[in-house]
Amino acid sequence: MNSIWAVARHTLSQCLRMKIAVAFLLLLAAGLAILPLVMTGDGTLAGKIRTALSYGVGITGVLLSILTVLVTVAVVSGDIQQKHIQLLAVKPLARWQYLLGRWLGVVLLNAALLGVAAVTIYLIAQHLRGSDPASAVDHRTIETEIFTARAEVKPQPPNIGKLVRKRIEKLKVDGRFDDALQTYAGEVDRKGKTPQERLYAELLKQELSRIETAGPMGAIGWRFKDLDLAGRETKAYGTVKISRADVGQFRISVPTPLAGKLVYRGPVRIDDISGQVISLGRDWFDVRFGPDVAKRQHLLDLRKGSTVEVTVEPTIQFRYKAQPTVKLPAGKKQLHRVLYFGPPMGKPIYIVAGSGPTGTPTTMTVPAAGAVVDGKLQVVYRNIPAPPTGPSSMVFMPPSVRISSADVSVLYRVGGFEANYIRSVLLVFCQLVFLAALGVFFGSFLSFPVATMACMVLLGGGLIFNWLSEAVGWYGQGGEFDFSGFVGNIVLTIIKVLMPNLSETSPADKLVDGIYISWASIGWASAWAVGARATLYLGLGCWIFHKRELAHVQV
Amino acid sequence: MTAQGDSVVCTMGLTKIFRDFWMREKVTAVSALDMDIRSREVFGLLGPNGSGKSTTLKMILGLLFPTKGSITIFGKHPSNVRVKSRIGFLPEESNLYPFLDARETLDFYGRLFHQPRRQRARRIDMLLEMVGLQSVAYRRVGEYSKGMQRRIGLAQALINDPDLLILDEPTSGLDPLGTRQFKDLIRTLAERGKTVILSSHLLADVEDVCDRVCILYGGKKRAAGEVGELLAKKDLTQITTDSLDEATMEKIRAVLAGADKQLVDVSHPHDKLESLFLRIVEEARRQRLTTGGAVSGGKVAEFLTREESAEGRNIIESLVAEALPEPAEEPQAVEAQPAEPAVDDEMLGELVTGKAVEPGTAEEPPDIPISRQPREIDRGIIEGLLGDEDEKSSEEGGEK
Repeated sequence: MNSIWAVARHTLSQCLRMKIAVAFLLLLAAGLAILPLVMTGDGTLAGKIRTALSYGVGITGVLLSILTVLVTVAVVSGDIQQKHIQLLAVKPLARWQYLLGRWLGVVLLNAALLGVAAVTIYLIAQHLRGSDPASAVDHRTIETEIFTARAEVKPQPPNIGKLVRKRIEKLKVDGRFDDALQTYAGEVDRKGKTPQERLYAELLKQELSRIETAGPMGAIGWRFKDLDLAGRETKAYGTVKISRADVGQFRISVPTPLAGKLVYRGPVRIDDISGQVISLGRDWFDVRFGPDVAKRQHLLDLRKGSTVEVTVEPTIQFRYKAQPTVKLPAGKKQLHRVLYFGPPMGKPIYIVAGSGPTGTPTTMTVPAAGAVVDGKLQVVYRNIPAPPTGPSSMVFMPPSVRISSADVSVLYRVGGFEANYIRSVLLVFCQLVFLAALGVFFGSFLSFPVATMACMVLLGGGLIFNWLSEAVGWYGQGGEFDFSGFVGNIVLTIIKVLMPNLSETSPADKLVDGIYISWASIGWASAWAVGARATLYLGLGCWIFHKRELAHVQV
Repeated sequence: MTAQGDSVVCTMGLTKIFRDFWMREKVTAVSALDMDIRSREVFGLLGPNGSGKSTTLKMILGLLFPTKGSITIFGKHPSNVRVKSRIGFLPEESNLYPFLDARETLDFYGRLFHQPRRQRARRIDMLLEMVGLQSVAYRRVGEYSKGMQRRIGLAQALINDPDLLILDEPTSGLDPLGTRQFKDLIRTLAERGKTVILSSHLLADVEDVCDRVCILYGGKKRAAGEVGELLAKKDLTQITTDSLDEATMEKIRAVLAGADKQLVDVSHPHDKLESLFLRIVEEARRQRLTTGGAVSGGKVAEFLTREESAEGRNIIESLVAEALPEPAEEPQAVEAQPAEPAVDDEMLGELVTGKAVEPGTAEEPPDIPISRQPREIDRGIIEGLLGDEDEKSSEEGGEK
């Protein structure tokens, strides 16, 4: 271990002498300096913060990834090229110890640089958080959708197979099944699917479209389970600014983050007495108590300046993306709907009418109390026409709306932003640890330019893996491009084995969306991307390095 | 520690063939080389450029793998990590990290031997003093001249007090002063029980320090044996006397004629250019002339070769035995140490009297035993060995 540590120390020292840290910090500073120029976002403060976070984490990840590859390859292949290895290899230092030392040194350098970058980005984000938001909605978005860590629950998948079987039964009863089958029997299928399989696939597609589409006045429903909301309250101390105890209303000043978590007309507890939020500001809210509760002596005693404990009940956020099935008329960009929240098979507890944009995710926040029972929730979307703008205006039937199950989720707060941010930085670190192993592996037997190119190709493959998958999938869909699809699939499989899917493990998207990054995901990333693949690369590198000659012929 | 006479490096049928990309045989760098290098000897690998010296050393060190044959080093395979803790290696080019200074360089290599920090720091100080780089210890190695790089390269090779020191072209790039110091050091180490393998094409270096040599040409062993044996002209006798007048010479010729012998050559012996150069430099140093380069030459050798010097002994002992307590901490050792090094007394005498102290005074260090007896050597023999492949082929395998 002493030998590995000695080489790691030496690597750190070498990198510092090579001015790598200075170069990285200058590039990062330049990147962050031009941040204000590019981070217009959607014009809101939330958009700016999202851009700052994603841009900052993104630029750090890219810079450190490139730096890691270049440095590891440079130090290992440079030692061989410049014959430094001939002095090291004759010392009591096993070759695997040398490679591990080099790898550890770069990992330590990455840890230091990533730490500096992460703190800088965090401070910028917090600075922006302290600015004035454009609106109350903006403020809420910042506090409940960015500076938070939310669990995301997807709807239970519909049993489409059952629906398709019912359709087939019905076709058979109606005597139309053979006719339907005959439709597919005449065509030649290059993938070799039977007419039955093709009919089944078509019915599956139709049923999926049917249950994901709401016609005019029609509805789509989703059921969610395993919503763990127990103990998810948020507590803070506030000060009574205005007391109207006689009518059971108070204005309470609270810290900004807490005010952002309150829901208009949602429940709130003041010193454990339940009330309802009737008005909201950036750092205050008005609460009203029911006539019976308002008579309690404790509330009657509250005066201006009194300190109270404010408990915000957990809320749930329903997120969806609606698409009209037909093109909307020019100027019309809103889809009107009513959302019903309640327990499955029960009456809706919250009914929210309004409109949402097309094609972009829309989030609706409601209190969880009552709507979620035993961790289960049902949400129904009803497609309604736009309300009349005047007594004589006409009401037009709304277009059909399709909402894919993949675009629907329920979110609720399970943790704080800081811990989530640390986990996202750890995910980036996992990637860097892997890349260091990749660089050591290629550097152990290839020259600097070749090893760097190999690393960059694989790094690029890992980053655009999803895009590659789609492209290969498209080519592989039969027809005249079957051979391309075959080759593409082989390439894809090789990349999949050699590289972790960096686009999936990238934390930036989740971080700016306030999605909880679980320890399990970090465990998976470290176990698979680092633990397995990095060990594989390091092991292979050590084996090759052990077997290769470290000097050249000079005769 | 290996007992005297034990085998330290043994090669049997060592062959290295380099192949091209298509695995076609490109060149045979070393061919069926048998060597048995024993402890406490200075072994020279001699040969012209491209004769396979460096390739042989690299195979001994495990940097190249033999195509055929075997190597054992202290009875183990060259890749054995423990064996490497007993080896010091100075490559042909110093191959040091240019961004480290001399002290950092030695510290880094010292760490690889797991030396405790105090011991490492102590050794670094001593080695820097020994190679005369103390004053430039904080300059980057990349800024050093080639000779200075050789010096720091030697220091790193000695950081672990190796039992086996392998030197590839050690004097290349060194000035005569450094060369002399190098050779003195090699002899000193050999006298202290170390084994030294030296590769060089500089015949004078090998001749001065080696006990045995192996002469390679085209990757094959052309001759091997003790230097004295190889160079001796047994059919001639040389007598060195005071200068003789013509009458005396006639008498000698008559005596020789009576014994049926012929006088082959009469001449005045020449001093070596190296000796002349060293005398001039020594004189300049006595006059305290300044120089921007390394400041060694003589002092280190003096330091290491004088058995009665407690200071020298301290350094050698601490370099030799890791486990031994530091002699400086023992009161007796402190008492035994002279107040000032002898060379300073000498300088003092010169300053007081205004002239250099005559050699042979009590303060003068004894002559440095760099070689056995001075010999007039006919280099033509060695050149002939290197050049004539066919004639000497019968000597192949004579090493064993």
